[in-house]
Amino acid sequence: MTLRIRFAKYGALRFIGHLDVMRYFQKVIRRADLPVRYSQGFTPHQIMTFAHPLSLGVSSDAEYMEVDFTEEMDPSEVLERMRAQTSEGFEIISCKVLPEVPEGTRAQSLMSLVSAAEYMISWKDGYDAVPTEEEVRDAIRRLYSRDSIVVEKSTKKTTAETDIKPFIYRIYAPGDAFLEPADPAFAGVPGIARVFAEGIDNTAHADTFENGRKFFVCVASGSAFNIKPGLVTEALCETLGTMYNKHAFALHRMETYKGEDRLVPLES
Amino acid sequence: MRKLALRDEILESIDKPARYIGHEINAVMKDTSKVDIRFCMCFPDVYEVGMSHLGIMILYDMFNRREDTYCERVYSPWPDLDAIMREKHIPLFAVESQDPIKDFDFLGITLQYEMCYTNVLQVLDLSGIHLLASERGEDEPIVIGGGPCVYNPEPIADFFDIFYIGEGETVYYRMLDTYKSIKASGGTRQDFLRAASHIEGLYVPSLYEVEYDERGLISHFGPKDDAPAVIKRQVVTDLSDTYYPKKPIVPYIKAVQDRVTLEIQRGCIRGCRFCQAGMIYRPIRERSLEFLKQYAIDMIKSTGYEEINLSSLSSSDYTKLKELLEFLITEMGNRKVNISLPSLRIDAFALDVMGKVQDVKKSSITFAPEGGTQYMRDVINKGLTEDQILTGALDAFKLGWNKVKLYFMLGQPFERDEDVCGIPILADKIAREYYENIPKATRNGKVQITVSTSYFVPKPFTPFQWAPQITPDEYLRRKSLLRSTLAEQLNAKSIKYNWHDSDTSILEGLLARGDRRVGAVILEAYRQGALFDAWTDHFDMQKWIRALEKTGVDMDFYTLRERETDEILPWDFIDAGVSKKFLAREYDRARNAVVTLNCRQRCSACGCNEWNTGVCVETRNR
Ligand code: SF4
Ligand code: SF4
Repeated sequence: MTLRIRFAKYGALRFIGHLDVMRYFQKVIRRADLPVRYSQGFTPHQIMTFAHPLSLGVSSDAEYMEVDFTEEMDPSEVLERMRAQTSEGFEIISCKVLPEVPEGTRAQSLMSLVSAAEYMISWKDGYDAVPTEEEVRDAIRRLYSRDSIVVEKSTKKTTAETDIKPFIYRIYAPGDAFLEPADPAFAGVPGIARVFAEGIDNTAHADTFENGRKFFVCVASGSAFNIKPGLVTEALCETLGTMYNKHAFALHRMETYKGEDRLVPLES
Repeated sequence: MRKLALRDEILESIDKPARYIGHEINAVMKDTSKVDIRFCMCFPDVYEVGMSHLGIMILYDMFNRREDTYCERVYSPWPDLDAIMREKHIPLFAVESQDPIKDFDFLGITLQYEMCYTNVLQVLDLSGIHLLASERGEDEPIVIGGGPCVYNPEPIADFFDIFYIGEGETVYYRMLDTYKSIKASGGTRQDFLRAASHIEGLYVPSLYEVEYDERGLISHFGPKDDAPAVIKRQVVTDLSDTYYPKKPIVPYIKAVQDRVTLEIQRGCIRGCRFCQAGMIYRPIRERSLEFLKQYAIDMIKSTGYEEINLSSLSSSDYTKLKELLEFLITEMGNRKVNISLPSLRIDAFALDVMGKVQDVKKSSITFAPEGGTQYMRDVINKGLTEDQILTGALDAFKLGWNKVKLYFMLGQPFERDEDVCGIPILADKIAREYYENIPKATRNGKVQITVSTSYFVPKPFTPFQWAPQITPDEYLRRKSLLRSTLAEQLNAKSIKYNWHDSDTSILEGLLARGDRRVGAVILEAYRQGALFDAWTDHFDMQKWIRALEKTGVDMDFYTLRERETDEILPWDFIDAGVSKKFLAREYDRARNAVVTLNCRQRCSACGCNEWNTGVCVETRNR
């Protein structure tokens, strides 16, 4: 039996790296004494997979992992037992049994399922002047009405100019009812054509700031295309005419999606 | 949500920010307004190293059992954060509450190796605590040192208010009670230090004075007024009825020891003459099998670790090792927990156990003969014969092993060139055992022998405490001799040779056997920028050479000079259990290459039987 577990990561534990999160949950499962499957050999380890690594410093309400069990378990019991073993900074949100895959086939890996992720990006207090709500809304429209949004995308070795517009699936400010894309500015834009299954408001574990300024963006994520939300923020700053300082923004992952034309949360 | 001492911006720009955020599983969180005493325990090295240290875990657990005390932790900030803290004037903080160390009542620093001394100064400096104890005011924490280095605390005496000599489980509670009552009655720092000096095992260096003669030797050492003349090492007499953490802290990032550690015994029966641990932890005391079984399971359950490790000196001497390992192999096997074996004396039993818990093809067998010839092993009292090594290796080869690690020291007293050459000759003999006895068809490739040599550093409270250290040039000469002899061996291609750096060891020699005058060198080296000296990439001998020049301290006086056995040694005021008479007798026997039997074979009246515990009160078979 395989369970897909959704959890939040927040507060100080935003600074725990991806591999350490994995090691952390292996210990959670051991402390919870759950019957999970182990690999063979002299040093058996748990069979556990994760969806999409989160960058250091980013909080999230939408982390996913899959764990193989050796016996049938009531997911709500797993949820309770794991919750009893997690510390502040991690919260198990849900636990779902995955349908059995037919004999002889293998389930698609959790990581390869991921196609997009949605973020809330907030202006932190104590940095440069924060734009007004109107300015942010206006800048988003201007940015997104451009034919292309070309940014410098750098990997370890190279820096290349890339048009990220096709990989921004939606971008909106609070109050912009994006879920009814009535705004003519976005008419005919390819990203907008993606269908989102349902509205989301997964910001329970995000840090909040006095200035209250923020925007939301859904970008391509995963192994095929991957756009860092920071790139979008940088482009937005440019539109706003302000200097981009990555430390001045708090990133929070609200949802991780699967699917191509129709994006649905990994949980569903 | 918890507050953090470091802003996100800093945490985002440094390596492994998890080192500084605390709140690990099993970390103790207390309301700081509800405790009387705040104690910060420090390991002066990076978090991953410090978190691997069992001693701190034991004391952390012990202190936090007291309702009136909150014990937290701090480690050395890595150079990246160190620079930011200095630039932005951020005070060093404890990982639990994230409060500045300066607000604590105590800062307890464990001193596990001499090369951490500049890190001690870093921790004090970043905390905003005066480096010199004599300059500290009423509101600064009391700085206490503990651990094996305090068997000669003199080089760092100026930086500490108190040293705790011996095992922490015994008198810390008394010290805290004393502190509380003196504080309650409005007493001063000085009042407390005076009272502390009368608690057995506590050494308050400011209450002692030293005089030197014209040759630079100590002519007088003693208390200024009524402090005790001798400080007695603290020893736990019953290790199965004392503090041990059932819930050790589990770090988020991988520590050097990423596993549960089970201390099976303390002390060693063997008395190798170079070995300080073998002397200062006497007598050997075992924990009961029942205690260990219970703790093993409890700790695995409370931490979720996937590995357990047995810790002790010379683990093969634990009398119930077989029963313990059998229990662990079954019990841990069921729980899918790996057992990380301590290095065992290679015999049929050890090979059997090793074969059960590790992959023979990947693992190696280890010998630490420490000396290349039988003569040399007799000098150092290492009871390991060539025959035992060759038989052990052959048995292992027959069972499929083909990797052997050999550890030696160069520069021990009375070592001759032929003893140095004996090292590669021995390695070659092991290789021959393999090629001559293991049929080609069943071989798992070439035999791989790794020889490592370290540069011997004489340590206080060992029979070699009077001996000269060899010069770095001489060490390098012996290293080259070893290398060229190795090249002449038949199986040279199967033998790899690693040697330890010479600068660190000679400096370690200075810090290990220095007196109070060496403190100035440490302070100056720190001012020159020396930090993380235990890390090869960070160690910079030039800084130390400049410090030696500036302070006018003659390193050779401390390292290369042979001491007379009647000389006053800087650490003579400590009663570590082993008597000076015994050590001198052992030095003499070393000179004559005479072996001394181990504690289980015959008591050598080393002086430790005064505690009436452990092996001293065991009934011997012969
Ligand atoms: S066996 Fe020898 S080297 Fe090892 S701890 Fe005991 S005395 Fe020291
Ligand atoms: S008194 Fe005897 S038995 Fe006890 S530690 Fe010393 S030598 Fe060993």
